[in-house]
Amino acid sequence: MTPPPKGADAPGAEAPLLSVTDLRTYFHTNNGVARAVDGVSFTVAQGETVGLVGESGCGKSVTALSLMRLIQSPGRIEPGSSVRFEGTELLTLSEADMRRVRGNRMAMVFQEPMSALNPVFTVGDQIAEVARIHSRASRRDAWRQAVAMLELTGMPAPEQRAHEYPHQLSGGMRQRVLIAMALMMNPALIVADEPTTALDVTIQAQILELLADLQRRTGTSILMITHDLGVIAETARRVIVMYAGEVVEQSAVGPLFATPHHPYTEGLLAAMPRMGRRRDRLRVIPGTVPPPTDWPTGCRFRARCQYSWDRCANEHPPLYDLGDGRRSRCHLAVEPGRRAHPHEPLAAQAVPAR
Amino acid sequence: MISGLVSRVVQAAVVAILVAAVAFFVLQAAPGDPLSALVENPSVSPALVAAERARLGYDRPAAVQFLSYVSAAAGGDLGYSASLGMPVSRVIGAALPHTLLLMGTAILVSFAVGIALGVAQAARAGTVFDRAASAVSLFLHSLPEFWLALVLLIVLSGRLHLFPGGGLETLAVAHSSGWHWFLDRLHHLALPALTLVLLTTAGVARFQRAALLEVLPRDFVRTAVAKGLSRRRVVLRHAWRNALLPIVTLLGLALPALVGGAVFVEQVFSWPGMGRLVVTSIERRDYALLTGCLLVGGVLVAAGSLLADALALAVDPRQRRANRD
Ligand SMILES: Nc1ncnc2c1ncn2[C@@H]1O[C@H](COP(=O)(O)OP(=O)(O)OP(=O)(O)O)[C@@H](O)[C@H]1O
Ligand SMILES: [Mg+2]
Repeated sequence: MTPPPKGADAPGAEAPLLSVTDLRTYFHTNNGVARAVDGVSFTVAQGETVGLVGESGCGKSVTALSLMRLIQSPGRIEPGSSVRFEGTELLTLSEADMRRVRGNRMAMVFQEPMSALNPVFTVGDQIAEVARIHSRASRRDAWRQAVAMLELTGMPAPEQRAHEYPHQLSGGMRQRVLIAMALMMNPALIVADEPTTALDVTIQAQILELLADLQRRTGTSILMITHDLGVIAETARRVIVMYAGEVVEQSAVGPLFATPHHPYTEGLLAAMPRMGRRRDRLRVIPGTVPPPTDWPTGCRFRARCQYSWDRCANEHPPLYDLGDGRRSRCHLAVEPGRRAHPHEPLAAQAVPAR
Repeated sequence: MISGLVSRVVQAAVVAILVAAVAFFVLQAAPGDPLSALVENPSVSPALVAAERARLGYDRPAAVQFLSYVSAAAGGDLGYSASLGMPVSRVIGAALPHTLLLMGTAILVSFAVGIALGVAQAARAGTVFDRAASAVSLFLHSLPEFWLALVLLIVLSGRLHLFPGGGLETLAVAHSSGWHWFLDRLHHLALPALTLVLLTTAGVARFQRAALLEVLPRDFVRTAVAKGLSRRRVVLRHAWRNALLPIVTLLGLALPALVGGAVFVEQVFSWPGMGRLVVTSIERRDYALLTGCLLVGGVLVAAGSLLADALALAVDPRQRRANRD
C-alpha cells in the first residue's frame, strides 16, 4: 500500500467522504500558464461542514469547479491530481458516470443567484429537472418534489413561486431556489461557493441559518467557500485557508481563531469586522495576491508578510504538521523565534515609495 | 401583455398606411400617368385623352386623389388596372397566394436549416466543420441574389434539366389529379425557393451561431451542467432557448428583405407573384396596380414584424413582464 501522500489529512477510522489530493488546475492561456490551484489537498468527512477561505483570486472557485469537473478550456486538471468521493476516483470517471455524480451525489450552490438561474424557464421547472434527470421522475412527481423542496428552504408561497421566472424573485429567494435545486437528490456533499456574497446582510444570515438547519436534518456534508471568516465561524467545524493556489493553514475552527499559525491567517483575522471595532479601523493585509501566471519562488506570501526572512525567499515552505489536525505552510512552525521580530512587509514599503 | 399587442397592431397599421402614402405621392411626382402613352398615339386626339383623364380623376389634386384612394382601399377597392383591364384587387388576389407560397417555403426552410446549422456550428466552435460552414455561409451571404438566381437557372435547369425553367405549373398537368398536380407544383417551386433559401440560410446560421456562442459561457449554462444534464440537453434546452430571441428579431427583419428578393427571383423564374406584378406595372406605367402592390407589400412587412413581436413575447418571459408594467 502506498503511504498517504504528504499534505493529505491522515484518514481516521473510516475513509472520508471526499478526499482531494495534490489537486492542480492550470489555465493554459496566451499569457502563460495560470496555476490557479497548485497542489491542494484536503478532506471532508461525512456530515461535516468544512470552510474554505481566502482572498479573491486565490483559487477557491477553481477548486470547487474542479471537484465537479466543471473546468472549461483553457483550464485543465493536471495529471497526478486526485479527487476521491464516496470511494470513487472522479477524475478518471467517464463523462456519463460523472453526470450521475453531478447534481445527484455532489451538488453545487453558486455565488451569483442572479445569473446562475436560466431566465427563460420557471424556477419550479429548473428544480424539477434535477429529479427528472436523476430519478426519471414523472413530470408531476418531479414538480411536486420541487415545490416540497422550495417549502423546505422556507420559500414563501412555494406553490405559486414555482410557477414564476427568476427575474420575478428577489436575490434571497433565488438563492433558496439554487439551494432547493442542490438538495433535490439529497446529495452527500454540497459545494457552496460564496452562497451569501451577493446578498444583503440580513438575507445572508437567513441563508446561512437555512443551510445549517438543512444540514442538521439531512446529514449532508458541506464545503463552504467564502472570503469571510465570519461565515466560517458561524457554520464550519474545520477550516482550510487558501492563498495563491495553495492550502496555507488547516485547523479546527476554534483553535484557528484563538491562535492562527500562518501570518496570512493572522492578517485575515485582523481584517475581520468585530463587535466594538469600527470598520475603518480594520487592518488590511498590505499588497495583493500575485498573478497566478508567476507565483513568487519560496513562500508565496513573503512580500506581504511582516515576519519574512531569507529562508522564506529561498525555500518553498511545506505544509508543516503541527499536531491536533493543525497544519501551516510557514517556516515559523520550525523557527518560532522569528515571530519576535516583525517588520514592515515589502509590499507595504513599496507603496509609499512609488 | 394584451394591451402591448394591441398597441403593436396599431403601430403596424400606421406603418402600412405610411407605406401607401409614400408610394402614392412618389408615383404622383413621377412624370407621366397611365394615359401618357396614348398621347404619342397619332390616332388618339389630345381632347379624348383629356376627357379620359377627367373621367378617371387624374386631373384632381394629388391629396384629393390620395384621400379617395384610401377610403376606397379600406373597402377593398384598390382601383382599376388599366394595363390588365381588371380590378387591381383581383389581379393582386391572384398573385398574392403565389408569393406567400414562395416566401413561406423559403422562410420555413431557411430558418429551420439555418438554426440547425448555427447550433451545430456553435456547439463545435473552432472545429474544421465550423470553419468550413462559416466560409460557405459567408460566400453565399455575399452573392448578389439576381446573379445566384440566374446561375441556378442556367445550371440546374438549362444544363442539367433537373428543374423546369420557370412558371408555376406545367399546363398539361394543371388540371390532373391531386398527387400529380402537387408534385408538379413542388417541382416548379424548388428552384426559386432554393435561391431564396440559399441567400437567407447563410444569414440565419451566422446569427444563430453568434447568439449561441454568446450564451454558452453564461453562468446558468454551468448550473445546468452542474445539475448532471447531458451536453446535448444543456445546449439544446438551456442555452438554445436563450439564443432564440435574436433569431426572432431576425425573422422580423428578414421579411422585408425577402419581399425585395422575391421581386428579382420571381422575375428570373417567371413566378406569377407580386414581384412580377410590380415589374409589369412599372413597365406599363400602371399606377393603380403599382400603388396596390406597394400597399400590400407594406401590409405584409408590417404583419411580419407583428408576428416577430408576438413570437418574442412567447420566447422571452422577461418581455412579458416589461409589457405588463
Ligand atoms: N477561465 C480562466 N482563464 C484564466 N484564468 C482563470 C480562469 N478562471 C480562473 N482563472 C484564474 O484563477 C485564479 C483563481 O480564480 P478563482 O475564481 O478560483 O478565485 P476565487 O478564490 O474564487 O476568488 P473570488 O473570491 O473572487 O471568487 C484567478 O487568478 C484567475 O485569474
Ligand atoms: Mg470565487
